[in-house]
Amino acid sequence: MSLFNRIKIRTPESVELEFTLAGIGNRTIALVVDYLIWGAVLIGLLIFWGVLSVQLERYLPNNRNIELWISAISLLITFTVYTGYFVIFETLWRGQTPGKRYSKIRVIRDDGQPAGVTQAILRALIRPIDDTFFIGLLLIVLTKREKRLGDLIAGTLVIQEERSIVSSNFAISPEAESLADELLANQNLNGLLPDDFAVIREYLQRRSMLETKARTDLSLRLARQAKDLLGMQELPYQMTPDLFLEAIYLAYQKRD
Amino acid sequence: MSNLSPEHSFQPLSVGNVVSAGVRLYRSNLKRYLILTLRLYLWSFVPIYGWAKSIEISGRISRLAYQELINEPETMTEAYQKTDRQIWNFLVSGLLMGLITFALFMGFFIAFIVFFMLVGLVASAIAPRSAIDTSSVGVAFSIFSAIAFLVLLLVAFLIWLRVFSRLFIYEVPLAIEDGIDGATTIGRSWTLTKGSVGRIQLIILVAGLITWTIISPATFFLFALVGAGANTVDDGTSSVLVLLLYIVVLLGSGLVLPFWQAIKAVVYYDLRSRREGLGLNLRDRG
Repeated sequence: MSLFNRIKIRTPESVELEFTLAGIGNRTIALVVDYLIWGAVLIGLLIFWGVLSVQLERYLPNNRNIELWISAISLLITFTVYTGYFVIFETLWRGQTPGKRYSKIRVIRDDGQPAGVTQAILRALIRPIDDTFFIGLLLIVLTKREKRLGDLIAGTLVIQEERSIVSSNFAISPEAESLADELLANQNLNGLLPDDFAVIREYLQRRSMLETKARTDLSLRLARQAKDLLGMQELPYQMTPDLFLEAIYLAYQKRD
Repeated sequence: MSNLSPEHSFQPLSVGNVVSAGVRLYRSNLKRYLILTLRLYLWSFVPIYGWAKSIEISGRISRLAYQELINEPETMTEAYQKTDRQIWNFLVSGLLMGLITFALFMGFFIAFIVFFMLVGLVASAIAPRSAIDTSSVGVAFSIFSAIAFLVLLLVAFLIWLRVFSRLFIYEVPLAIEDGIDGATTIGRSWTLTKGSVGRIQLIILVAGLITWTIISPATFFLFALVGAGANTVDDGTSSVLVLLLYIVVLLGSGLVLPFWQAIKAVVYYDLRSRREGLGLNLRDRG
């Protein structure tokens, strides 16, 4: 089983795109964050309105309907904040809310286009139904495209944001530079595929977090595999596996 | 438009993705897992051997889930052959976990006793002097000791939470790795979770929220039963209600147990990827 729920969609221009669906975990986190913010905003507004309405009652003592009006307006505030929060954010941030931004997910249309105000409104209006008896949660868990009622009606998908490749920010020993030039001059680096390069990069980036013994084993294994992929019989001279991998990393970037 | 996959298979998972993967494993293996859980329940009625078997089966569910994650799925029989020979080690690990929990709570207990003795001592020491101004000193002292008590309670809770998070996957290494026994599996859990306590707690929180929402109908039913039981006088009816209550609790926890074993498997997989670079390989990816 793959870890992620990957789907392919066809854009109006007949381009096939692949996305990773958000998954129930990310969506739950996003919802919790959003409801925390939303709840804080709502409570703030209602307290403000409560203070205001006490003043209003004092200034308009003769109006009998004033209490009705006050409760009607607080209902209106709740509704506006409830739908407004999601509509405004999903429209302005192209399918994201603070919670979705935190968990790195985004709403898009079924055809891969960015979601707009129509989708945002439909999703927000159906949200109360999805929240009742956790219908939405069950639908996300049970359906193949992870759509709650709001997604079904608005024709939207919730996907994971594509992660931009972070620039490398790991330390490389100075000896690796000269070694890299040596490798470039003497070895054919075409045996390494971009995927292999990605693995080496990933190792160099994460090595400081690895457990000592696991790191020793892993670097040795990777260095041996890299040596075989490059078709080298022996390493030029004694060096640590880490140094060799650093040199490959630098050389691979330098080649044209 | 670039269309790189957001996460390569060798990259660590986010909290949300750990939970989603657990849910997906659970969903696609529901039948297998529930059969195993049923066996686990039945075994738990048999003393000692049955208890060992229960822990072994919960480990086996995690093993099945993990093998799927690394794309080497196993059949029920294959997994059984791997975990069954470790059965006594599972019992040892379960007993050790019990001992650790017991020792922890004994520690808390002693800490609280010492605390109350100190409070008593100080109170008796200041009592004669405070005859002059009983109110102010007495009040200040009781407020102070109440706050100290709450702080102590909080510290105890945080210690417990920390230990619990670090031993969260105690039976999983035993079910998956070779050359591990009932004691080293707990050590493995401790080493693997080093530096990941916060993330594990978030995972437990999010998975707990999902568990809670899914079994909330059962909880509702449970409260209805308890309420009905409290209002009946008739012995026959109340014993039927107790039986029903028992069934609901068993069903509910039976549905939840394999889900948590799947979550543990994903946590274990992710921790090995983070701490040991599991999946970082040049060969397999031609």
